Amino acid sequence: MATDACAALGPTRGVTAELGVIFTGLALALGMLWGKPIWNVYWTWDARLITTAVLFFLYIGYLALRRIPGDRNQVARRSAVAALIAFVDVPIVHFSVNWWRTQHQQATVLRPDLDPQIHGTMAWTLLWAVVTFHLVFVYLAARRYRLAAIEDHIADEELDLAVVRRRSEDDFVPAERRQVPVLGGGA
Amino acid sequence: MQNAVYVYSGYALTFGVLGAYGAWVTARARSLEVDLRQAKHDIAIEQERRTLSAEDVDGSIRAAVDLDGDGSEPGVHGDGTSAGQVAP
Repeated sequence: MATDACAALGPTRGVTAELGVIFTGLALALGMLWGKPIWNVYWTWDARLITTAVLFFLYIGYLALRRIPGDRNQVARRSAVAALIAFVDVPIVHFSVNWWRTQHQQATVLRPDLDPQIHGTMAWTLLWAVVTFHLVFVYLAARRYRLAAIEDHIADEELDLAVVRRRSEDDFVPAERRQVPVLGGGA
Repeated sequence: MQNAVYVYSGYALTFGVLGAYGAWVTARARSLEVDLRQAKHDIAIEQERRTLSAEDVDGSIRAAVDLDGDGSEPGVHGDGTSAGQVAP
């Protein structure tokens, strides 16, 4: 029943995971551009950076898993299990700067003591960026979801077309030429 | 000045990647909509063809072959009745 519910969700087909790859990839790339003038290096083996890179590869792995052919319910089930396992990395990314001594600065907004340490102008800029990127994400997800729905619709239509063609060919075969299987091996 | 290069590179990367992805999704959706219309059209044509061919099998094509395979005229039964007629 649960798998039926997963299949009924339709053509989600990793739409948000695809966007996750793009947004996480952007976060890594933009972080590197920020790191060069501030840390004087593009990349360092820091807990926050590593866990974020792991998240990026988990998204790619998830999308690769979804592409393995199989029954729709099977794909939905194994993808759901993979997503649950992969999600473990998300809190690790967030708490990495608290759990380990890192080059990356400690939490400034969502601190354990609930006392944000961020300048007002930066806070508003951050809030603006968070809201804007969420809106962009929702917009792109809606567009991508629609594309996935069309792809599914086409797959169904092509299947219908193949069935119609098969039946159509069948109609042209005269009854005398139709091969009737002989029961008992025809001996 | 040096920092400005990184800042504008970041803007270019962000708008470039998100814009390219959005453009790809939109273009592919439009292209597939054309394919979908074509597929629906093809199905309608095939169904029409199937209906017509079924009528042919019942009518003119059946009438043009030797119905009994007994050497009689095409479209005529051995008892002299033609396709669709019942022997008296």
